[in-house]
Amino acid sequence: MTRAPDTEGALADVGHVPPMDLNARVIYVPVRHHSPACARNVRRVLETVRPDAVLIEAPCDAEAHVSLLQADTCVPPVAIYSTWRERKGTDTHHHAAYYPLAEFSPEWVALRTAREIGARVRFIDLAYPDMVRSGLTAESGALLSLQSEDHFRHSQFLALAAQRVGARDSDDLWDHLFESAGAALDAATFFRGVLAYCACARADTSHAAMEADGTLARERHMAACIAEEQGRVVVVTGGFHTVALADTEPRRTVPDPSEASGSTLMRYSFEQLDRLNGYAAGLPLPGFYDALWRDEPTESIVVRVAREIRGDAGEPSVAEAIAAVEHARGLQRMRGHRTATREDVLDAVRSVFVKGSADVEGVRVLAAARRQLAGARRGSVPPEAGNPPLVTDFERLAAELRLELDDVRERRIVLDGYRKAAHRRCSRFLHAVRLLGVPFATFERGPDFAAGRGLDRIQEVWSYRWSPATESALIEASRFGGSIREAAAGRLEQAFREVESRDGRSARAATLVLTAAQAGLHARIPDLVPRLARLLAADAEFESVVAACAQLRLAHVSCEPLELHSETSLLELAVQAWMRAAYLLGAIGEVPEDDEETLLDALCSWAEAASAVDESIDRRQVLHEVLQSLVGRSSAGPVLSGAAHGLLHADARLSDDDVAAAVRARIAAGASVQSSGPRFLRGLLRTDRSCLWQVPALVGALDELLRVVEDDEFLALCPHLRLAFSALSPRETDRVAAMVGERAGRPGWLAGRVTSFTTADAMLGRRIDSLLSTQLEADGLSERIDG
Amino acid sequence: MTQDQPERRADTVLRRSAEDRYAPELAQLALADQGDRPPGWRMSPRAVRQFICGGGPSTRKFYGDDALIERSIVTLAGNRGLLLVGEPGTAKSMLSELLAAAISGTSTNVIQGTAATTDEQIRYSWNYALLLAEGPSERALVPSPMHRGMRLGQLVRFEEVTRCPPEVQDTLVSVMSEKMLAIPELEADAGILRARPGFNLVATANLRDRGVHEMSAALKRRFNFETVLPIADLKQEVELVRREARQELHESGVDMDLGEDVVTVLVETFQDLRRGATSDGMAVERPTTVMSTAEAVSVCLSAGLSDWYFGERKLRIESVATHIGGAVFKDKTEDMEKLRHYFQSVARTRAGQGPLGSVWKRFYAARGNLPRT
Repeated sequence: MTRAPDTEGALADVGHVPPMDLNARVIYVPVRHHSPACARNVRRVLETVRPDAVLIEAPCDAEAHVSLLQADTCVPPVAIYSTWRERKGTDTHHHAAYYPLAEFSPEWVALRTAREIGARVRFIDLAYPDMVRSGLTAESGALLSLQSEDHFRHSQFLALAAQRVGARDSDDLWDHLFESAGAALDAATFFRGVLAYCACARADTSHAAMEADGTLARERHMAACIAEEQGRVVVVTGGFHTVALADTEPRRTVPDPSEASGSTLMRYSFEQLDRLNGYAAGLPLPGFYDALWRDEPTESIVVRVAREIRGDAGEPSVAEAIAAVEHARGLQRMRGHRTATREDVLDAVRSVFVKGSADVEGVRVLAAARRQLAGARRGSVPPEAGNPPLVTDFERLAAELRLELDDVRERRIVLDGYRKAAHRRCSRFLHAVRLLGVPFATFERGPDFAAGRGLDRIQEVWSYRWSPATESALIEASRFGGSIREAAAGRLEQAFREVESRDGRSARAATLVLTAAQAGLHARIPDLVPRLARLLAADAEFESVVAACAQLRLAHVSCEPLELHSETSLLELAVQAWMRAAYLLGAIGEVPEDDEETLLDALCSWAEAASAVDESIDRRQVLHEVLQSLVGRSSAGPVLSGAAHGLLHADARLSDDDVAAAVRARIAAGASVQSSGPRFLRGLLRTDRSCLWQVPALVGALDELLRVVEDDEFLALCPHLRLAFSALSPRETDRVAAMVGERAGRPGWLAGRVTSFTTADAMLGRRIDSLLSTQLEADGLSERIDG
Repeated sequence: MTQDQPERRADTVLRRSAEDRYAPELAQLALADQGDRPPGWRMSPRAVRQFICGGGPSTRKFYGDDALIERSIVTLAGNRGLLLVGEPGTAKSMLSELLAAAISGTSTNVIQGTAATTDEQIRYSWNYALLLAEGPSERALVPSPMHRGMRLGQLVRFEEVTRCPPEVQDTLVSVMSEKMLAIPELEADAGILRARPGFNLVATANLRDRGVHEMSAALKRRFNFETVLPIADLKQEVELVRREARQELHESGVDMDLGEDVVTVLVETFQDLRRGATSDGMAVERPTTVMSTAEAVSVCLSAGLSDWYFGERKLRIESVATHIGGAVFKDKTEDMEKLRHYFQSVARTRAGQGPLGSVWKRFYAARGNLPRT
């Protein structure tokens, strides 16, 4: 196997990992966050050494929570939620990050064991504002974790090592080396291995990168805290830091007490801990590691997964579950694992439970397996922990935006988001609260882009009132995040996933993108765009795709009020939606009569967008090609065919004669397929009314039809014809009537109508009308007339 | 034929089996193999993995998911058969051959599944002359590959199992669960063939193609399924298509150069259509036809031949456009629509952009060459 040249030197360094000395005064314990194997060995070390102090890598400004964390009423998973409002000139930046703890987190075990052995606990990392200042940042859109282990995932060295032992990635390599083998080793040997693993990753990371992301500043602070501690000390830190801690020059950073920062202890969930859900702080499938921590045998895990997959169906059977256990054991032996790892179990699921191909039958099976292995545990915090951060954040923002929370009466505000930045912020906040489903404010009127209503208005009018229900709904919504922005983002994500997993309608997803912009969740949009693209690609409903296209165009033209200037991809998506609709249009056949109206609306919207969707390319050529093939296709329904004729005629792609011939062909068949002619006409007139007077043969053909039909046929035809002609304006109706008169040899027949209509006539008419209404009402008939 | 046709010696064959081609490598692996061997196996599971995925004396022979290979090996060591599924042209058969060569030292116990495969071809049949002369005897019995695999404790390969009618497929159910074959015509002891350790079944199947049959639930339960996916890497596939197409053209007496840029545009089109999305994430309509690597080779072949005999003796993108329709359009007219839509949405935007812009431009301009439906 080849080795990357830049890791050559590092290999030699890693060989010098010192053995762990459990008799030293200061014992450095390298851990990986959320590793059950590390947690177990941390407990062994602490119980053996019984130190005076346990030092933990956690923000020092959160040390006040230690007693809460050690309380019996604190049940993991919980998280320390740190916030900081940074003032830069007149701007305020809001920072927030999580420090999650599961039952199998080494830090949690250190905290609880420290209580048992009576050791004091210190948090030795920088205070949260100092971490941010020293360079700790979140990847865009992701929730920031104070336990990021990106170094492992980015290490080329570990990637190569993984490749060599046949592991998929650095996570799988970790499981291979430590989770499956950890229990058999003594603590000192185990931690020496962990240190070597971390040294590999560290050897791969440049000094400049570590300076830039704050790693070195944090380590200097940690070293200073360690140096101050008396007596026997155990230092529990991420192994990446442990590698360097003993040799780091101590430099303490004293937190600035005047900072607007704080931290809260809040309940957390496995869902939030699962990295596969996009939470950077987590690990993949926490439920599996929870099972490892509880020493749950592989058999039991596999059976749980089998039951989850089985659901209401009969498969997989017990025999299959047995085979899966054997398979997992076989893989475990072949891969040299002491216990089955996460991938061993998942591979057994893939091999044994999937009866078909991985991308069809396998999808449901693996999703169910992942659901089961992700777990659903939720923690709780002691009542003394105070208000959840979401409530605090809500109150803070409301105060900032001058929303009155102490008044029991309903208040009304008018927001002019186009002109005033503060009003815009307020609108974003109220939309976010609305998205969370928290009963607080009602949108009365104004431009609502997501709903496509009131777009001609400039001001938004909201009414709001705080009630106890507001607070309880906020507490409930805390599961989505610790601040309004995060929680709204979480709720949005949930809604988007619902669309993805349910009907996959792209229109709904496109609306959610607009909702995101309205609620100020712009950071989420880059993540939603590719997912919306996938939904568009799979959406088979013409109307939905056209609606999505319209929403995306709206997002583009409203980029000023929605602050979407930088989202150029939305326009690309609109183009993609338009093209997709072009394709879908080709496959539409007969539609039920009830759906014709929506189809015609969608078709018009789509055709109108041809030149508007993207100024750089005129898509009319494609439009015409698609419509031409629709005209030539016999399977297209009459309405659609008529509408296509109309569109092409309006664009001068079909001559008057072509249209006349098509109408004649349809209407001549009228007697046999009664409604086909009028339905064709309906489509035609919807997209091109002018052909009625531009193509004289059209009226002629209709005239002939009406001459030959029998009475009962006429009765059947009549409603269809009325519907077809309902697209005409009164003036156009007159125009057609004049033509009919001419054909009938009575050119001036409309001249007899009243043209000199005075005010007195109008008054008389009104009087008659009101008398009639009164009479009808007296007779008890008014409802029937109105209805 | 002409005299530049490669001379064929009497002792060469058109195609050598895997155990023959890799004999030295297999011997070396077996020699160094320290691991436990499942009963009847020629080498340990780890050595089998090494043989297929590379490492030590072995070169990599299968590109794709290594975990799939591990799962397959573990399945074969257990008591269920292995069913490799996936679209045509994904090297399922090659994988089954490699597994059989490494595990049993022979990959020639092969049953080819077709609509006409009979029960006898799976179990056994008779030499009728001997049967009439001597009555039923072991001498008169003509063993099937399955019979041989069971008797000698070797892997048996069953290609395209879903092409067999379901009742024939179900012959496998008893073989796989009882691990024995009843031969009622023979005397008591000889009437039952019990499989020796080392026997198992590697089947390949296509689940989506036309003319394939459903598998019964009973048979499905006796197999572990593994899905083999097409090559995802553009460069690798371009290389493979060029190599294979040049080889096939050579065999047709044509030695012509296949321009990398033209083949890249072709393979990229294939990959986009196969994936239902372009490499930069734009969605495209997926045709129902399998856009396999083998199909890409055949497009190159027909386009190449037509350019050789009717054109300028070098592969032009215009001919590719003419012949790509044949690969996409098998029996569904909407597939042609999808291809046309691809030209409109993807080829059109790529025209003139990037290093291959000029090729894409010509490709788009040649959209009139697509067959009309």
